Amino acid sequence: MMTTQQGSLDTAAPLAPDITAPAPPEGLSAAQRLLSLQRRFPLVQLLLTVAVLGWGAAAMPGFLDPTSLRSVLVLCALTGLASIGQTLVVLIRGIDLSLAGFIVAGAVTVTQFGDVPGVPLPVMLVLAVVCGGATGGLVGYLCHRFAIHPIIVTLAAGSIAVGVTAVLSGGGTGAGAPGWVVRLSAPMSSTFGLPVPPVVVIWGLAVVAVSVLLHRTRSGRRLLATGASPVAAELAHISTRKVWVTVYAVSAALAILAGVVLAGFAGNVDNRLGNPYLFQSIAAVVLGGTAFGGPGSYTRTTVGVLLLTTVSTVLVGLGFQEADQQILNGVVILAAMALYGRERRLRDQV
Amino acid sequence: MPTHPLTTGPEAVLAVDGLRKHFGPTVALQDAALRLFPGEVHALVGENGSGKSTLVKILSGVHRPDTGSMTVGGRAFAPRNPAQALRAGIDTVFQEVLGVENRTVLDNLWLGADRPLRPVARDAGRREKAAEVLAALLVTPPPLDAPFGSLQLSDRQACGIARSLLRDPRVLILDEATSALDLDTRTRLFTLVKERAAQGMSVVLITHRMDEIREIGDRVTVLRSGRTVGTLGADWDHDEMIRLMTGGAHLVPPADSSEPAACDPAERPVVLRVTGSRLRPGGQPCHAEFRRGEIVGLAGLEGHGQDEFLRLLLGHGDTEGVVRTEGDGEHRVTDPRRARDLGIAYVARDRRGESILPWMSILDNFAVATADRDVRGGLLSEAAAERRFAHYVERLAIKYGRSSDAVTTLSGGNQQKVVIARWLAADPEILLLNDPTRGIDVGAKRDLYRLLRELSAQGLTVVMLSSEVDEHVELMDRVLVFREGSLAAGLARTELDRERLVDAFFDGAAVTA
Repeated sequence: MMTTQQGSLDTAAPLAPDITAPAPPEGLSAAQRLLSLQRRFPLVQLLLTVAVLGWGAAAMPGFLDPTSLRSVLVLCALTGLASIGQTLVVLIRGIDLSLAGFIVAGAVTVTQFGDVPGVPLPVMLVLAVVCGGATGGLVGYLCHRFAIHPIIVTLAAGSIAVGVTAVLSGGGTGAGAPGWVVRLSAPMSSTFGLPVPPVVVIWGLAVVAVSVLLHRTRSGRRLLATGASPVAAELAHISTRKVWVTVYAVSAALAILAGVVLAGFAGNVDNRLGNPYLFQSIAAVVLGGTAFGGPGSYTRTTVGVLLLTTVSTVLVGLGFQEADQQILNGVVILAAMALYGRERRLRDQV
Repeated sequence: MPTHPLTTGPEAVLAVDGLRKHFGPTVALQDAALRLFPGEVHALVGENGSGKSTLVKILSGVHRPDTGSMTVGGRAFAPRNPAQALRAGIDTVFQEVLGVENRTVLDNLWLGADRPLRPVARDAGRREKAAEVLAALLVTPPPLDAPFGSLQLSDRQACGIARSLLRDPRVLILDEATSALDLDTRTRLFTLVKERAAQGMSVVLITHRMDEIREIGDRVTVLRSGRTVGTLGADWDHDEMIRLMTGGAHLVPPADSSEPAACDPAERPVVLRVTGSRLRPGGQPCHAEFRRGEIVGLAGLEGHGQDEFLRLLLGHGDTEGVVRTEGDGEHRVTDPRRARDLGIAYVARDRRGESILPWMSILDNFAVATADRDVRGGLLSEAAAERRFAHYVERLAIKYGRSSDAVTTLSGGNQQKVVIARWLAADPEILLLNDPTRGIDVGAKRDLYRLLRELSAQGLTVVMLSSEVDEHVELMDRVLVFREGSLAAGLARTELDRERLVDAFFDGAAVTA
């Protein structure tokens, strides 16, 4: 009886056709191709952005003026910079609620500690980034080492960051940011002759840098693998704890820097400065189609940022109230979740 | 091709015809049919991707079919969820062990059949019935009040089956549900199933093990590419079944796999040595040596120490006595990273949970452990990875569309090949495999055996844990048998056969149990 079975394992019979393998590309209909493109790149979101821009242009004369476009770009850049860390964190199956706190910390550093005798502002900023990064790293370590959900740890860390900043600054709201910080995000300023404010150029460079880092370096590959399957990554000799510590450290440090830029943009800094950006960073990541643990990329988040910002700008321009915007934001996020959540379920079934 | 010998009759307890189901662009079932009669044990076979799982998920109410008809006891059957299927008397035990970890064994056994405000624990009748079924399945049943999470894998699966048996279904579907059972429990389960079948319960059995089908299967339905291609009677012939499964390919007699190695293995240098390490606190110290170019099997009943032994070679546990020898040099294998540096690679057991990076590309999955080699000018080069991968595609006969596709688009067998390629790319001198053929189809198994023989002929030492007796008999140069947490016996190629091996599993165990 068993000899026949052994025989079967070693014969040269060809494999049965594998129906789970994808059909060759030439066999795909146009619709399927678009669908597969959508899976890799947020095409629908990009088209929606263009449509909303068109809507804005039709409804408001002057909406596509260079001046007005610059303002929109600045808003995009601010949200975009605040979303870098969130993207990385979501890709390793985490979430970062401490963003708001670190943004405030960064902003207050600029407005309050710019004139401490003997310590020039740049040194102060480096100090802030290092402290923020260290705190972030500790957050990543705690989450990983003790398997605590990042919601809890980052909520605590953000609160501590705001508190410590308030204690150090004596709770003062402070003077405004120095001129060079204000110019970073002033819509009419230019960058080395380019007719866009520095913050937009910085954001553009960040998009390229983060994308290269994520997809073309070993560190990026380790990060993505950690998100895709922590167990498999660990067995492939990737230290997932190092990844968690690094990603949370980077996220906090970037939030501090985003806070610096925001201080110049907002003028008036208070404890709630970071809150809208925390919400928008999560919204942009989700809208762009990055899933917890991947797949995802910062390019997707960038498209999410463009869509989110365009929609809210157009709504403001058309005279909608903030409450209307909030409703729409919520609906849009649910729609994105429905789209991507469904796709993943489908994949699990096959 | 035989015609469908499907007798249509009102007496079938379950009748399925023309079932079709697609997921997105993938057609999982095209034309599935099945007739199940009262009191029969009906095996459902087919290679991976043939639609077995989809059919079972439709029968158990997890999925709904696109088209096709299903009747249970003559009445139309279209379950919208698993609860409806259960009410119709169809109860499925899946391969994945499903249980609530922090509730007791008893709670888990009556899960879904419990009533609000009436704790199962205080229901003496239910306690008794649960204990009865568990005792019939297991030699040493776990206490009913033990937390489910504290059980061994084999016992958990047994509890899953007991849960279904307690509900007394008309149709019991065992979907690879015997894969984690130890041999003893499996034997007891089959006895129990035969008893229940004699009382009228029908069973649909899905398994990769021919011996199981041979043992309790009355009839066999074969699926291929989502279609039912035939149903064989009790007198089924092995070759015919394989032919139906693979699509009528011409069978060639196997190459003589038991051909003795070219040179005496005992003369080859030792590459890895274990001296006096204990697998568990209080266990007997283990002694073993592995030579260059050997294929060594690790065998035993589930949970008898072979897992711990493999982990030991990887640098986990009591590694005091684990030494890698190269020429005159001796290096202790202290931890997994040290093991890697000493040329030891490990293919994990659970492909989905421990090996693959689900959404990442085939190429990324291949390169993840050796990405250092693809760096060009500080950045990762896809072309470099592609070139390295091409070498293994051919060697392992990996079938895929594009290397940028997600690894999950591959069949289980091809996923496993990609994982094995990942570790071969690290150029190991010792390859550890933890039950690599579990749940992959016959064709992929055959490719893997051929590859391992080739590699060992080139000097790779292979240490492979396998839960399949036949695999040991067919592939291994020698087998180490584990019993009660200790290395109990070693069988050389010349003395290796089914009976001796199974005997070694039980020798002594029966006395102390």
